[in-house]
Amino acid sequence: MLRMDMDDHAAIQAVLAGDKEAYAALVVRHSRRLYRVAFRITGNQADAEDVVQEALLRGYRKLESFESRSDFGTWIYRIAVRCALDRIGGSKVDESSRVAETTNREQNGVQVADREAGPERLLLSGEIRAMQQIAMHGLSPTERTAFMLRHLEDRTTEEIAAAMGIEPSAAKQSVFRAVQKLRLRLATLRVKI
Amino acid sequence: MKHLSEEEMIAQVYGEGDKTTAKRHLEGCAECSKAYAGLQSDLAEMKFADPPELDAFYGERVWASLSGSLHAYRAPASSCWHPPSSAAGCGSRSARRRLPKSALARSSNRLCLFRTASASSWWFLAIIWTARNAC
Repeated sequence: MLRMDMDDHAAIQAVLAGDKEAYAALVVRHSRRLYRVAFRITGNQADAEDVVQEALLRGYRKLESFESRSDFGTWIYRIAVRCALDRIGGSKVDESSRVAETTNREQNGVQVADREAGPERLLLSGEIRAMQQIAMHGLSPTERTAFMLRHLEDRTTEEIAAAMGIEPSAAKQSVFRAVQKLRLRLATLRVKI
Repeated sequence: MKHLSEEEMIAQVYGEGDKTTAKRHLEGCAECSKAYAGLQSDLAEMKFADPPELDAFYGERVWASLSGSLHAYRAPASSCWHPPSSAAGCGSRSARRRLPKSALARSSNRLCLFRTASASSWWFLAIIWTARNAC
């Protein structure tokens, strides 16, 4: 029987006192939020689930370094962001959705690896979202993570920097470069439609 | 007139940077205002797939798959004094400590060593003092 009645700090104290079952309260309370951010960064369900597991495991092992005045939710969120960043940094981009990085200097754009999708198919509304996913794969892991945290998770530059373990100026630059690249690529893809 | 850079516009869209100056410039500059509207429109269009819905027991399932790989932390020792006779055993007790090897465990080990050293010193001084009195 899981004990859900404890608040975060009481659960942490109990875990550090030897009651590992108390960690269940923290896992159940925070795993959905971690899953959401992990999915947004990694872009797929399987990786997101792995990231959640890894983040909660790392969190458990580092629990003694957690400062009692801090918020556990924020702390574990940052660990999850770093786990997700590690994952997309180390994993290869899916070949079927890779953007061919053959920049045409005259057009100042990129060409999509267009094996199956013809212009008609791209007109479907669902394909616009897919097109954005394709454009996302053109970003570096840092740019992708910073952009997702800014655009979808509504985090400030300082929060992004803290979560990713980088300087605020670097976080700001990453968001800026991501927006620039996405606009450029999406503009090129719209021309193809 | 100094126009807004794209970086400043992006900061403005996300509610950061020097809002007052940027807003004032956008109100008076048609060129920047048009570029800003284009940027806003592009960013508003960027909608990505929502994470798949999770069932009500997701958290429980995560815990079930995680709990087996977690080692319980050791509760901190209640007593902070070991008599000199037990000091020798202190090291071996420390060596048997289970994972996770924590900062707490490390500091506890240091305290244990300190206790051993100080107990030994007291014994040493007592022997010297007894020997001197005997002479």
